[in-house]
Amino acid sequence: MNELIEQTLNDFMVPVSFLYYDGNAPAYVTYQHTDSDSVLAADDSIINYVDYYDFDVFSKGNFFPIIEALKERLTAAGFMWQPSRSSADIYEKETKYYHKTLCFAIERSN
Amino acid sequence: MAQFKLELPDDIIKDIQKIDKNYEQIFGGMVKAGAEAAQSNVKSLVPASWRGSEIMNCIHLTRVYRTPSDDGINCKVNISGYFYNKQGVLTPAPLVANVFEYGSTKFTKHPFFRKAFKKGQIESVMLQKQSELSGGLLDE
Repeated sequence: MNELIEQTLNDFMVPVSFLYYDGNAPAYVTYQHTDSDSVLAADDSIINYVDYYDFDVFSKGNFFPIIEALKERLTAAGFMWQPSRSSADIYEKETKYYHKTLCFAIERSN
Repeated sequence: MAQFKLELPDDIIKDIQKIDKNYEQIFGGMVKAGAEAAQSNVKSLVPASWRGSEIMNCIHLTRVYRTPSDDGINCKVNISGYFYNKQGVLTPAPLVANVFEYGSTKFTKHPFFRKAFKKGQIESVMLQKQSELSGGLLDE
């Protein structure tokens, strides 16, 4: 799954990193798997399930263009944006980064 | 001209009237039961450092309420209010919950709130309550 994400966001407008970003870019995105849930089961086995991924956008400036671009790329790759699992707008005073978590789901077959 | 007259039996009409009269109580009870299940999940999934802390008293349920815009009947789980942390500082609970749920540049996230809403489990609890409150009238 991480391979699909890496391929989808290969030439994205800001650096994209799994779990942790160790650079100094004024804007970057980290992603991680946060949850899974079964959506279809038969004969005591899970047939289909949903994987939830958080994409955390950190930016010292306007993060809305990054958010829109991220939504467009991931939706085109088969992810579904989950508004109810996404965060409010956050500002971190210590580091002066704006922060927004976008949650996306993708359905998988077992 | 051929005519056909059908009369619904009285007991079916009475059942429909009973559901119509009690639907707010039935649906209100259902959403409350679902919210209680989610609240219980939240309490069991909180980070280890929360256990024994006053922040546990900040995990609340709202009352059951109606929203006129969609005629919905709702009951929500929320983390609200303030608590005294281990250093004795009065701290807003939603701020702490937010940092754990979504993380920050310096703090790794520990999602627990969103994980607590398991659709299958909540639906099952709500259907059980529906059967109980409607006396089985709304069972499939």
